Amino acid sequence: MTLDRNIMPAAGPEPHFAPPIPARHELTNGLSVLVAERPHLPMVAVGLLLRAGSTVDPADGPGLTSLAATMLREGTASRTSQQISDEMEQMGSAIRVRVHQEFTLISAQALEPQWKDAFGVLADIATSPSFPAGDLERVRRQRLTDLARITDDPTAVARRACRAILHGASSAYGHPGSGTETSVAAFARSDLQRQYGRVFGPAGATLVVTGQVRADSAVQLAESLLGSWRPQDAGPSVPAGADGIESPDRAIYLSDRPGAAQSVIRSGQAMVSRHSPDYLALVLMNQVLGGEFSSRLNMNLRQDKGYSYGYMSGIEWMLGPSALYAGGSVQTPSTAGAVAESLREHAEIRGKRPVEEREHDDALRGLLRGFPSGFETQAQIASQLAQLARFSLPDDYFSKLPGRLAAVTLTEVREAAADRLSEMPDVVVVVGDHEVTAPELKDLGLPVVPIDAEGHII
Amino acid sequence: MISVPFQKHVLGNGLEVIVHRDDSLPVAAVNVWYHVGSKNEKPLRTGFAHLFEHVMFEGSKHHNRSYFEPLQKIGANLNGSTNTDRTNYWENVPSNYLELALWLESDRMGFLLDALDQSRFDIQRDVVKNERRQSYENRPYGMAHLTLQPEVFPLPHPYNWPTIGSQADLDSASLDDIKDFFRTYYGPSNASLAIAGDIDPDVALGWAEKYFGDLPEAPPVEKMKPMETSLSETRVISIEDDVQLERRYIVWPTVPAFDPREPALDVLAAILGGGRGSRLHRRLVHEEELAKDAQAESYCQEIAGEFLVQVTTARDRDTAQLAEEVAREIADIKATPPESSEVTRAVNLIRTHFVASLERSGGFGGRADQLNYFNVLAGDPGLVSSYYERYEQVSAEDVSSAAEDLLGESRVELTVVPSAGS
Repeated sequence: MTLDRNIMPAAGPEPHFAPPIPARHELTNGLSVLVAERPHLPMVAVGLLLRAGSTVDPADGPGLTSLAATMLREGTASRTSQQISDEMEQMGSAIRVRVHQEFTLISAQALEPQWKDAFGVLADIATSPSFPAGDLERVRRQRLTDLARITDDPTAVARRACRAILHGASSAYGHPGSGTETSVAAFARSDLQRQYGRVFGPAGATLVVTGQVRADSAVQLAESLLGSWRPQDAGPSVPAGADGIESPDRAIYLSDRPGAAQSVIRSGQAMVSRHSPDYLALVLMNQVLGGEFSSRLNMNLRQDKGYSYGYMSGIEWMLGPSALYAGGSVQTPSTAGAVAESLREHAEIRGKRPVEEREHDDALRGLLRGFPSGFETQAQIASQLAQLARFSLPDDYFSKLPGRLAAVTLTEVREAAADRLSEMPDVVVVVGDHEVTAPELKDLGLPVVPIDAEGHII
Repeated sequence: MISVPFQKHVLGNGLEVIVHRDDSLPVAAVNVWYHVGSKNEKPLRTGFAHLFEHVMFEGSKHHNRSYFEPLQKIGANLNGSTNTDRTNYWENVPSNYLELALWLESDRMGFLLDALDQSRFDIQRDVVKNERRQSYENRPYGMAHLTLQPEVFPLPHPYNWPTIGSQADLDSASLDDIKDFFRTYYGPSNASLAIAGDIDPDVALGWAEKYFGDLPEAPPVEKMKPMETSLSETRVISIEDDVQLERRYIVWPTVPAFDPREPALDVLAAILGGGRGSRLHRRLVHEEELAKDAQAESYCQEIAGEFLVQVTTARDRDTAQLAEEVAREIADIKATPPESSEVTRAVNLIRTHFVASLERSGGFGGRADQLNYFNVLAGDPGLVSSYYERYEQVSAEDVSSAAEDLLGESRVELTVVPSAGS
């Protein structure tokens, strides 16, 4: 019998998938331990999620939390900066410190025979940093250089400016988390030590461990390495709520980059907290708007118009105010056209062209069927467990999620889009050639406001 | 260390099929390598292999629309990439959709040109031009790679031109040009199909035969032999970019993949410039603060290799002084074998990296991709389980000899200088 290639093969029976439900244990100092045993590969991933990020910077000291976190790797009571790197790399591992707005994550991954030693170094830098004065000066010089060269990268400029304008340049969520040249130059060693003692500690923190490891032995080791860590003075930080964000003046904020081959466009829309009942409906809405390749924005700006290599959207979920960002790099002559199309897609999904039934079904099925792929590597699983910790979700959250997602109706998605999106995004930032792009941008009917690379209005 | 058991079969039309079962996640990974990359192009006709990487997601005779749409709604991840030597296409699908994925892959292998028209070609050509702008022209230091490549490999070496092609070549390419290119290089006997994950190997092989078995044979493609560059001196060049800090790139031509010295070169790169404890980072970034960052990499490709050292000058420091220090480090490691602890450190870093890539059944560098790598370039997918052992055998002396033999006068030194006004 000849094969009829016009017939798309049907699916086989639905495979079974059970996401990990971690074992949970709480140490006496308040630190939670979540362990997922995944024995099939000889790797272990460890992450320590601390409940303090750049939102707990003092108002007059942007970047303090980030600089304190960076210094964790630079020396402890018993190890120099070099010894920390050497010891980890001898084990084929490395420690990463990531400072987010609402948390700080210290993580490492190692082959099974080395994981306990790697965890030992990680625990040491978290609990006994010494903030060596000499290393601080080196780190400070490097940070100042990093700040000075942000202008190298138009995408980084767009991200930073968009966030600053959306939330307010000196607000908890909008200020530069890596600091300013003035603030970083001024921090004293004692400022960093004080911030560390105030905001970094076991209260509200979670250790996640995944891989070829037994839960009881991981807990035992956590107890011995972190059990006597003194809780931080401030306790777990409580992020500001999502309310009370004042919208910036509607405008296209343009940062000049003479001669640029492309313009980087990024729009921002303030959103509800991750704890909103609209969370899953908005996740689905974003899948349709710009969350994947076949979404409206990319199909329009890349596949139909050929303006861009890719134009996507995503929601940065927060305990406090979240934000929907959309953007991409577009060829310079198409800048105004791309902004117009992006604004049109934004307006239409909340208004005259709401999410269609087919789009809703495709997005839903895609998320449900793709769900197991988020649990493949130890690092992925550790990151999923960190989400549980960060948003205080129940241990069986991932087991229940597919059922809850499948229950989100088209009407709920449409209503969430209509309720939570404004007619146009709160802010549009363009980083590109002012002289070439400004005239056509002005024709879009919005003021075009020049900004510097930090997002300040010039 | 990690064993990746597999079966390999060759279909009647020459397509090589490799299957590997791992049911830890209900996902099937499909990965196709076409043994065609930019090295198979001709000067003035560059960028074709990469352009096909785009066109091949746009539809084929029996599925004449985007490949993303049916795959995304089943929750698949998918992508493709092109380098000098090969183009790979992959999708990770829920395991009960494996047959669908094979149907799609076979259709673009056998029936792509039936669906390729001028407008589809034109749109993707515009997208590629924007990819070039985004990845190179509008990215800090992005033009460095495009500048280095022709200097390290002067014509007629086929690594001379960039994978992304030139805007002029893309503009002048005709639909017929690229159709000819497809007919030459995208036949079953020039491809390798790997299927990994939660699969029944016999069923997967049966479907491979069902969907790919009757695709017509194409004329055989001769494998290119290793080819040395004609570069025989130190070329010193500089370009301007809209950046704050100077950066120096030093690139030496080395040896192809699977040369006996490949493992020693990787170890050398990790000792010199892999991680915070590497020599260049420790001395130049940490202690002397001459550099903002420093790294070294070895890339052994199919017919030639490169060894790269890249250092960014710290603010208010001097690139010439930094370059002297780099030269001193290179001379040191040639003269004196590294400490055994440095070799252990390097080998352990490489091992963790390798094991971490094998955690995934699909995607770039996952098991299916690795099986195809070893199959296409070395003819033996089984090397995925054993190649790493060669790294365990590298001695301190091997590292010094590799540096002595290969990091010589024949090199390119490129400085990226901040343009006036930056």
